[in-house]
Amino acid sequence: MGHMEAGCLDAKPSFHQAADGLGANMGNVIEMCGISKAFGSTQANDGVDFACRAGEVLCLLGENGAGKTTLMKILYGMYRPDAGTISLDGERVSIKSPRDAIRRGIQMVHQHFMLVGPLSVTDNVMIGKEVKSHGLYDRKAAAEKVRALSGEYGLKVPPEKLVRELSVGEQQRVEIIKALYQGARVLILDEPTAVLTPQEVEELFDVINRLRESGKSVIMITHKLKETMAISDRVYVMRQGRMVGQRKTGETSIDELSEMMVGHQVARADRVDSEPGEVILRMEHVALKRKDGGEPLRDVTLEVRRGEILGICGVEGNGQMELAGVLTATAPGWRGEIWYKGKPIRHTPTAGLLAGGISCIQADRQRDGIAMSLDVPHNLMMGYQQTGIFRKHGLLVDWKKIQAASAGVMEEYDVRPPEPRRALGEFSGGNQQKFVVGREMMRRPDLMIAAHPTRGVDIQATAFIHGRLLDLKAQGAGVLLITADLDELLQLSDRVAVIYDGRIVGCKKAGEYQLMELGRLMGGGQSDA
Amino acid sequence: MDTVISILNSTLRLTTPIAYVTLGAVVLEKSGLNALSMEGVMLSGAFGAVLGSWATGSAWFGVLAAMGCAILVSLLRSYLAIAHQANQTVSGVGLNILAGGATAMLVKVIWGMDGRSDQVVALGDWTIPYVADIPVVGKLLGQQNPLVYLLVPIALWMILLLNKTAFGLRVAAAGEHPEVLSSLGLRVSRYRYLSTILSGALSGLGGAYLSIGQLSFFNQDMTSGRGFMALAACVFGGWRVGGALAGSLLFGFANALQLRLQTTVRYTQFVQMIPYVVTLVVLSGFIKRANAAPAAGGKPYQEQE
Ligand SMILES: Nc1ncnc2c1ncn2[C@@H]1O[C@H](COP(=O)(O)OP(=O)(O)O)[C@@H](O)[C@H]1O
Ligand SMILES: [Mg+2]
Repeated sequence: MGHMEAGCLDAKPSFHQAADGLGANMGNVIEMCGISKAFGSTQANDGVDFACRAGEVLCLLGENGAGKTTLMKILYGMYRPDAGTISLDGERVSIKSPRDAIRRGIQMVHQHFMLVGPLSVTDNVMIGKEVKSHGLYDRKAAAEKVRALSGEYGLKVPPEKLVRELSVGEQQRVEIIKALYQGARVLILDEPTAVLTPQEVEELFDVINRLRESGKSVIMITHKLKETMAISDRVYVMRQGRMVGQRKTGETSIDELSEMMVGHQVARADRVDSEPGEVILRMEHVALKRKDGGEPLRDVTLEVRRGEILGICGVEGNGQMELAGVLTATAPGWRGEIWYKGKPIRHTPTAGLLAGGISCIQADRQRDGIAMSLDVPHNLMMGYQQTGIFRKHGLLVDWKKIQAASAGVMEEYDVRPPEPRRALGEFSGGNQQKFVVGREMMRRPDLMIAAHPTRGVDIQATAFIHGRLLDLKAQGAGVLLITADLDELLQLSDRVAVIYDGRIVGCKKAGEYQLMELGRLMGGGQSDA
Repeated sequence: MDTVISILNSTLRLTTPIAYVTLGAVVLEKSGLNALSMEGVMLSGAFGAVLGSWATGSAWFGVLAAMGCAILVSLLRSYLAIAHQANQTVSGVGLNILAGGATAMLVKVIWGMDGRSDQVVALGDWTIPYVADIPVVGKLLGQQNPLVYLLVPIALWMILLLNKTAFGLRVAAAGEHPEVLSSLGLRVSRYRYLSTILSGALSGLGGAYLSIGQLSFFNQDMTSGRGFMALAACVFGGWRVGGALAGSLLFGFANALQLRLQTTVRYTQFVQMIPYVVTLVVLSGFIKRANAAPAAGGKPYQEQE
């Protein structure tokens, strides 16, 4: 598959002319022409053209698996392209390793951070280009450099702290400081907002704006359209390894970009109002104290009815995760009262809750939702071990049945590639999530606790998962939706409860909230009413 | 008083070989390779020292030969682990068995004896002028083997190397999260091989002290578990030079106590168990450690080409 006539947008000249292919665009810092790269039988990049000017913020948009990361890793020297050329400042170059890229001022912040947890912020920034005096590594001078960079670009981080003690947002700032310190003119950010809270996204965008003002180029990989519209000057859209086009951000729209990305229009799953049924879950004055004295839940009172979606919104770390923990009996020691289907569940273990029809899509899927090193059938079985459905003769595991069920879930939930033998860790995050949703739906739950059900998932899969949650509601189950994505929240929820500092500080119909009011409540302010 | 001094004295002598190997274990583990092979490496060092001293007639050449042998043997294991992603536990334990067998065989081939070499030139003690005349301290520090004295500057140098140099920073990164180095275009294998060489040289010194420092011949399996005690000391010390040395002091003391008690107790077998029991307790994690093992330790790492 090495040679591809087809696939390039404009007729692709031979490699020798390639540098002139975009000749009209003088002032391009980076030009990539006809880049192709295959992994085995997967054509990750297929004759891709790409260019970037100085002082420009570009978004590289595409669904999961479109080949965005691959293209940028080629630019960063981590992969060698099978075909195609790269020019920097109009000059043909060959980038053989990240070292070459770094030397030429290209830096990449990876989706999975490249940071050493037990080392300090300063140490992490310095690795590979340490400040020295008398032949020794000079930590003090190094910390000063970090402080200076952090001040210049508004990247607040304490230089002496250990990286593992930082929040995800802070770690990302460390990565950006590291890139700038290593001498970045072009900064590639791979899905930087996937892990951030809305506030942190705002802060990141401030930083990106400062970088633009100082003449640096920023390439942001994303599949989020709103963010693309908010931050970029220009957008490239990729689909299935090919570049489908580019637009000036000012001259395009979310609808157009979404259609380019997906290849057709995406039907949005919207809430259908319905009459909720009986109360399936009731919590009264639930509180939770941790051993270290922290009190993640202080006073939670809420109820979920059959046939309704109750959205829980709040800034991360205000008790949402513990709420899910209490309801799955994984956070012991809570006080207060909880009734599920009219019965108190204080002493019911997790297995009992699952058997009683509670499903949970965990927020941290890689930690709580799946075993990364096990294959699909093993992961599918999890949560169903104690029920009889995958057993034969009452004792033995019925692998045939599990395999059939695995294939079924992968098919229905479009988990790709459809190879159940693979370990879950080999699937992309979006596909892992689809698998988890499929597995939890398989229970036909009466109560679904969905924590960040579409985090890291692309548009089509998001719409699909939203559709399933709405189906579940239509079938008469109750859904407790915990999400940090306000659009998702308001699109799906019948009622919305706001959680702040372990308390429910407001709860009413989704339509009755003003967006500003929600924001205020989430920040600990007062309600309008 | 004399009893105390004699226990302290033997503690110092028994700590020294473990301490060198412990330093070797720290740097190796920090770089992300596990230190299960220290026993075999130390034994090769002890053998190399006798061989070198026997061949040249100079104990100091013996020390060099000890380092050389230990480095070669360490490199063999690291090569399997780095270039071929061999399982480190298996290759480490395998190396120990190999070293035990090979040295015993070479003793037979070279000296024609079972399990024991000829007498060779040993390292003579150094006497420190003036210090030797101070009453109590003099007895302890005034006259000792050169390798005992050398331990101090070497340990200080190791602290500096691991904590205050670019090399130390990169070794730490190689052991915690090797992808970080790769993403910066640095080669993980380079830092792991350099750490291996350093670790081999240090363990060689420890081995040399056993065979031509305390004695003047090689004895089959003469390390008798000290390599594992060194690993335990490294764990005990939280993968830090200072703490690890404290750990080896603990084992040195346990050994000294054991020797002392042997003369006074009836069931000496139980007394002889003391150092090994301490090893077990430390390695099985009864002792709470503030510091965790290097995250990528013992895991194979495939570098991108
Ligand atoms: N190292 C790799 N080995 C094998 N396949 C890969 C590798 N990296 C990416 N791929 C495959 O290439 C395609 C594009 O991946 P990627 O560039 O990561 O997409 P994106 O970043 O747009 O989500 C996917 O089908 C993915 O499975
Ligand atoms: Mg990607």
